[in-house]
Amino acid sequence: MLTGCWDRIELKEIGIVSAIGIDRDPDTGEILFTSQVVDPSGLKPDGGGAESAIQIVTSKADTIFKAFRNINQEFDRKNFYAHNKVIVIGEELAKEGILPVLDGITRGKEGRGYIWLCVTKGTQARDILSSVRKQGIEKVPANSIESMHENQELNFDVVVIKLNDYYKKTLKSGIEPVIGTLEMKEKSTNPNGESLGQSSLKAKLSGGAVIKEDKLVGFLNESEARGYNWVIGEVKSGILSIPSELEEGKLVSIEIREASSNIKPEIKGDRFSFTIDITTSGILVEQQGSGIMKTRKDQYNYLKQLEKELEKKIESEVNDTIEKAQEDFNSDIFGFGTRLNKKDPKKWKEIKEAWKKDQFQNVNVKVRVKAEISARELLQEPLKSID
Amino acid sequence: MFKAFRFHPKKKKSRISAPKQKDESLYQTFGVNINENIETMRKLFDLNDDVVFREFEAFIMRPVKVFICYFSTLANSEYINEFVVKPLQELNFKNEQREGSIPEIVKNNVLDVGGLSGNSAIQEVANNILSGKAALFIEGSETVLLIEAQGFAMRNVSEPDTESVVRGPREGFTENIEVNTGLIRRKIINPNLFFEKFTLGKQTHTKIRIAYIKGIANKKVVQEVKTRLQKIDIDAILESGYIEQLIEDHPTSIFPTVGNSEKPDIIAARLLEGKIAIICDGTPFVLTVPFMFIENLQISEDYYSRPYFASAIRLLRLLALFLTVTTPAFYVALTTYHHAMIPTVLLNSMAAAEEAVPFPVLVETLLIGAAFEILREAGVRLPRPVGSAISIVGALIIGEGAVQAGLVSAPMVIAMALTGISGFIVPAINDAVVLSRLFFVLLAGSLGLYGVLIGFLIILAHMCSLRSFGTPYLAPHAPIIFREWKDTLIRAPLWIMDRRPQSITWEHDAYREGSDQKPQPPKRNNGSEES
Repeated sequence: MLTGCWDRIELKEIGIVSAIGIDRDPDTGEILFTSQVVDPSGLKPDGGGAESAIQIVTSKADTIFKAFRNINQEFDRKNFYAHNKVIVIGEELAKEGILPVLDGITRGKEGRGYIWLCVTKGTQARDILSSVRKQGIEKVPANSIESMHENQELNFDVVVIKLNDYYKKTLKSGIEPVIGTLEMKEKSTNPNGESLGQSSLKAKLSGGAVIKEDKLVGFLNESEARGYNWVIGEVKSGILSIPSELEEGKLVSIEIREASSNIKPEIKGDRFSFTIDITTSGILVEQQGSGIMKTRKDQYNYLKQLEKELEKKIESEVNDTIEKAQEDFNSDIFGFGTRLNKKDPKKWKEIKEAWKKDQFQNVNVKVRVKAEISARELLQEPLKSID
Repeated sequence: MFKAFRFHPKKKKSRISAPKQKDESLYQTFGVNINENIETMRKLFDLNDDVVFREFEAFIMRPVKVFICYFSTLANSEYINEFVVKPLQELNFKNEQREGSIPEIVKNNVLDVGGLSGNSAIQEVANNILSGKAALFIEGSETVLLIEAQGFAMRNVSEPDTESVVRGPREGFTENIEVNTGLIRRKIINPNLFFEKFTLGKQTHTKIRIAYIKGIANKKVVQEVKTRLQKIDIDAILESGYIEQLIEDHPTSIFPTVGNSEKPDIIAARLLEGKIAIICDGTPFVLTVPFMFIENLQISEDYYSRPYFASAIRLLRLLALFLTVTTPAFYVALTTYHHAMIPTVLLNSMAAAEEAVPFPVLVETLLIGAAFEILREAGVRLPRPVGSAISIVGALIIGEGAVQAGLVSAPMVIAMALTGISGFIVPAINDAVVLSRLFFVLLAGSLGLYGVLIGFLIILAHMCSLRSFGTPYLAPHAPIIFREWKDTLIRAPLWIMDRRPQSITWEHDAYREGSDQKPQPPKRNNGSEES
């Protein structure tokens, strides 16, 4: 597109939007649009200026785009969305469908594809954006929320997704997305979020939200989110605790260092089954129990036992998640359908519709986990006071 | 309607050139009658206060009437008294007869001076007197002896303010063409180095010399320089800049196509590449042609220091050139059109800084750019003792005060400071840089990055179209002469740059060094034999 004098917008004329939230207003049924706009005077390095680095602007209309424009009835800047970090969609609205919402946001706009998309759990998007005035060190809460999403690689208890990936998964046949979930850490009683010790209000990423055919159908808890991450190979790092073999009731922490997964479809006539191979390696980072291993052989055996425990734990988490996806949500979040499509496209065309209805629910899944714990030098027993 | 405002008469008249001196007497020659000659000289110079006419009788075999004329402000009176007047007044050849005319005898046997020539044209003699020679008229001869006796005040050879170096010669040219010629001769001791004389300026009769090394410089280019110099028809040549503007290939371009330098070593290096130098009396700035764009990035120290750092500094200079031309333009484009391209955190802090500024960014840029140029110009013009006031005014009032008062934003000041400092690294093309910077800022303000890109294309296309005395301005990059890239963006080791630049000499294989110039330790078996 050509730029020209007519497109000139001074920095003083724009409001830099850092996060947007979209809800269905429970009273009127209209779209409730919330944007978190950076207030630059709150960011001045020498202090002074406004106290808060953000301004919350809300507007209502029956369509999203109308709501966008309605902002200017009460706000002095033209909103600028290119630096938006997060799109938060209210739980109720997500149940109606997400793509229509995204359409209003992204069509003909300066928005970007690699921003984070999440839904709220048990609260409105507006509450998350307006009541959390300071989430972390960052002065702009949206930046904190962005960083929380990025930290997923340290922490596999949550699922996060970028806007582009959401489009990819939801538009592709045979796979359904799971998107990030934000909830309030401390329940805010006042929906306007204007009183009640605002500084203590924080948002938190938790589990994931399962989508089926573009609609929110339910949530995964943390261990299910882990199970999901194991299957789709999104585990980069994380801590798993497993019972210690040395002492009853004590735990051992394993830091996962590497993980990969492979989903193999098997077709036998009209019956399908899947095998998920998960390989992972980790190191022992914390040991609560104490005990002495005299020989190398003991150490070896101990590690083997831990590996078994780890495999068992991962396997059960994955199995739980699969069960939940099949029975509760009937949503192919693991992309079994796409694997089938790759292996036998003709067959997939035939069963596509049935797959969405009930075939996925009845498919047989086998999980095989291969875990390895390395770094034997970390096996020393913990320090203890002698008396 | 506009006719009323027109200054020129409607009818186009043929151009009236500057009035030529039609004084017939000047084109005549002197006669044999010394009294008439004296009368002629008196008519010519009589109203002057500093002219010296001296009539006396010399003795050369017999008493002879002679007449000396010179300017006491230009010639050295003591020298004339000692070596011209005194020998003449002695009793020369009292008792012997000599063959030949008296002027011949005076010339060959009497005078104790070095520089001596004869002439009889009135115009020539007058000009020579005016350039500091003494004229000796001898009874019965129409030849006037012109004696080199110049002695006027001049500046000593000193380190020039421009082109200062850490390593390398410190001497610079002076205002005296003789001294300057000598400085170059001292660098290149070679009979093939020629200095050809021209006299330009109908009123000033300024002495010009072109220097070139025969066998290296292209003959056609030398001829072209001569032709262009001969074409000059102007009253005055007060500085070499006059010549530059009258011989350059593209007088309408903002880019200079004639180089200049104040240092003999730089001129010597350029002569050795096959360029031609034009030395003008009265200025320390010596011109060189052909001149290519890349020379703005080359400084003499590159060749005196080792190649690695020199190459790094060259690249830095290129970066600085880029920055000084485009930083304000990019700032304007990004802050008024392409906010999405700035990293979020930077955008936020820029927005914070911009919040209190009352002007659009474009206006802000033009204002502070003008302020910077004013400060720079003031710093150059002000007498040195007052100069420090500039930095106080500049740094405190513009830098600090304007930001605190909210007239300009701090990032803008930083961007402009970067622009200015970068500009000082490439001072040679400062004029082109300042103009193109303004051009880019205006384009960025109206068309954004698209405009900056268009600006680049326009400037680049324009530069490609330039030539300087037959050499493409962007050579060796456009047209591509790979071999010469060794001395452009990087400075290759001397032992690799074995050929003279083809773009200047027009010769394909002009070697300037032997084939095995890479220094290396002696081979082992040689060493053992010696020990």
